[in-house]
Amino acid sequence: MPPLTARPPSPLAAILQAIAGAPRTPSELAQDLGSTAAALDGMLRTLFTGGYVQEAAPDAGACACGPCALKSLCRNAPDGTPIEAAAPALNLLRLTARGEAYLARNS
Amino acid sequence: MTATVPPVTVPTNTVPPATALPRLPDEAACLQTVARLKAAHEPRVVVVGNPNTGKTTLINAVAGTNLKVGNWAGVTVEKREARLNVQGRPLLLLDLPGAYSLSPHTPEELITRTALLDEGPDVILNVLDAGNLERNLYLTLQLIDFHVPVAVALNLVDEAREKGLTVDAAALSRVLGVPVVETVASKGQGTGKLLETALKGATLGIGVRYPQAIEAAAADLIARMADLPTLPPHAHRYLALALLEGDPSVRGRLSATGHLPLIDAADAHLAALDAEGVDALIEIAEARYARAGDLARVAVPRAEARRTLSERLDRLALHPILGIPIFLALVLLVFRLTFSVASPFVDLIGGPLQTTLAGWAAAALAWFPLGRDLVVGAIIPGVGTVLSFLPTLLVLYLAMSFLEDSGYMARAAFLMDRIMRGLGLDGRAFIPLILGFGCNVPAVSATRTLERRSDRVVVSMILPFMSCSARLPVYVVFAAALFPRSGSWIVWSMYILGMAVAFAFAWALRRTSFPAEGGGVLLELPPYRFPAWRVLWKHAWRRTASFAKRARTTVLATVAGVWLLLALPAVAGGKFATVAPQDSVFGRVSEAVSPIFAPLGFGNWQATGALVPGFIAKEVVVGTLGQIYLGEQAAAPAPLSLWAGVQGAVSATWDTIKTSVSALPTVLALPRLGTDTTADQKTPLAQALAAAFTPAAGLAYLVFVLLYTPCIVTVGAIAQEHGRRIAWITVAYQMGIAWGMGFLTYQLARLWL
Repeated sequence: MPPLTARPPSPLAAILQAIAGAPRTPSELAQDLGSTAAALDGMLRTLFTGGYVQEAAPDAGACACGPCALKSLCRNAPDGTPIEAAAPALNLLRLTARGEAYLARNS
Repeated sequence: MTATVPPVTVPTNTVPPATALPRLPDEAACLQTVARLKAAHEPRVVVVGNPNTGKTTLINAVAGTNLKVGNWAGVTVEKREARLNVQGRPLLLLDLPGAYSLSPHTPEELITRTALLDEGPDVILNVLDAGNLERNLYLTLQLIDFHVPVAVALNLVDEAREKGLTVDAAALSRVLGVPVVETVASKGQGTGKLLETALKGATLGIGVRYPQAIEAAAADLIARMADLPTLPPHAHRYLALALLEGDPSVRGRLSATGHLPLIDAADAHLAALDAEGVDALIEIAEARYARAGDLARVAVPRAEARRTLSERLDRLALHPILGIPIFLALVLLVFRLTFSVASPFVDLIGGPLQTTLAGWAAAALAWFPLGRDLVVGAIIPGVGTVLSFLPTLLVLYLAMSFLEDSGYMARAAFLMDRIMRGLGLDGRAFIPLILGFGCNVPAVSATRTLERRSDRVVVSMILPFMSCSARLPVYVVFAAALFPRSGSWIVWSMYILGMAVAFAFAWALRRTSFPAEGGGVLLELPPYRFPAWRVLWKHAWRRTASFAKRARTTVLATVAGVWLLLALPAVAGGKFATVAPQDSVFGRVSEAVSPIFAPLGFGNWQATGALVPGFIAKEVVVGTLGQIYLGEQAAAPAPLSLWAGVQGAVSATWDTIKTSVSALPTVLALPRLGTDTTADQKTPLAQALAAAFTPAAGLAYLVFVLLYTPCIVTVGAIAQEHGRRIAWITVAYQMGIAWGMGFLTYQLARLWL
């Protein structure tokens, strides 16, 4: 089988590459990749469920966004997009060791 | 390996042979169960789709009132089922919970996947949201991996048209290989023949063709399942792919039901694929997304997106010319609201209520003169003056929370992004700056969210210029004393001046000590929404309570310290607690420092002395002013009876409520922007300040309080984040800037005021 780099970049690999530089929110990724957050949501959930990406935002104790009124501005906090309502919201995402290994292997 | 299974492109010795799978001990029981279920069979149609695609509405439309709801034991989600007759045949409709995919990570998705495995459906009716086709088709392609006929209800086509999307149902049917029926379930459109079409026309569909190595591994696993009657035949391909995806719930289920050899075989395939550099999960998901994208492009060849309400509002809020004036006008409106509604209550607490309390304390502590002096001469005028601004802060926090939670502040950050980028800063730096309006300490911590170190340092160094809420009481009391007709303008000007100075020094720091690193980043723009009052109140109350807590801790301790220094004589013959304030240690030290501030117009010991404890907490400035100017007169109040005090307090409170309510309509009174309600009702402290300061000196004092060294807690936060050197540089340069700006203000203001 030829290496992945011999093929056109795939959407999931492109997402992983976009997150590799710095943590990104779904909206930021959508703008980076010329897509929409809704369109990317399924892919991000696939990567999240598969263990390639994880939440970068703290969600416990004093670091939790909780009732902060500024959360609507903050990339660490849920953006309240209704489409996320039926599943756990994905906020600021970064690579896991598995995601990094995947990129390293295919770069 | 059997002859009918395509060979796997991995060394055969890594995958155990299919014939090695043992027979299960409970196979006979399983076969009996299957036989019993088949004997009692009635056609089953499962309704599956993404959340919020209108599945239940669709079922209600086709099943009428026969719908009943039933719970499955052990789970918190529910499935709905409806029994009905279609052309004389009994039929069971199962409405499954919404699922984005069959790789479950929510309880709802697990229920749906389990039902597809266990219910043995005759037909899958897949409900799609026509306005979000590509995302919905991922699930469709997973459903086609089940060996069950599929029919599609293309729902919500009306909403899709409103978004400017026209879906070609015939083209979608052609490329999917299954019947597609357009529906608007809420209006009953297209639902009439939906079930008939599903029962008669549903087909297996055209599934995804995965990469060769994946297909070969899946085929091997399917072959191993062929001899296992305990696994539902319609799900063999799905299960094989789920094993290759490493789906933990499928692995757990197969493991628990005695299918470990199958899992071992899957693991061997995965190891072999991994050795070849193939990530099975990614490859499978990629193939589905690519196919979903292709299908969507065929079905929706042209998409003309229409503007949402948020986008229309943003045309105004983010306008290149009008955006900034709108932002400034909204901030001004916030301060006008704060003044109009809260100022009467500030006057009430700082005036009649404080006087009443002092009277009661004087009566109660008549037997203990020193304690009476401390309480009546220091704590009540000091802490009481600070607490009198709680209504101001509550209204301010409510208004700011409204702007923040509505999504407008994100637009403000976007507007400021242009300015920030011009300064070489990350646009997101505006967020800690906004936090700085509340308190500089958490704002310094919030700089951690910035990615570049130079951004974090620069923003932390300019943050103290943002006017925190502790400084607001100083502005309010001086505005009431010296600028009673334009108080909100004065306060607004202080906030704008703070921002302007912060931006100017960010620019200067960028060009001298901290050059910009790399490019910028993107900002989130959440949709507009009307905030819940309960949430607003929670935010505002929490912040106000935090301010009140500081009043009874930091401010109380500082006020007691200042009282002690005011009571200690610095002249020969002076006695403790009876010495004149100007002859106390506090007075003499302040007198020595005061010439530094003479060029700024307030070179007296009272004004200078109040600035010193402000280094501990900025709200202490106003507390100390109260202590200095009101202490002496408050130290000898007329003792007050309980009943007389209550009568006076109730009467004053009622008058205040009337004044506050009557002031509300003036918030938007443009011709007379200074609508402050207290122009003729100054508090004792405001009256004292009006006598002690000229307007030019008062303005310079406000500018100095705005810009001078941050409080000790903020300095500590900066030191913790960026080291002591940065912290002390910040203290020093802000002190210099404050003096310079105060001097300029005084000299210029003298020309006009």
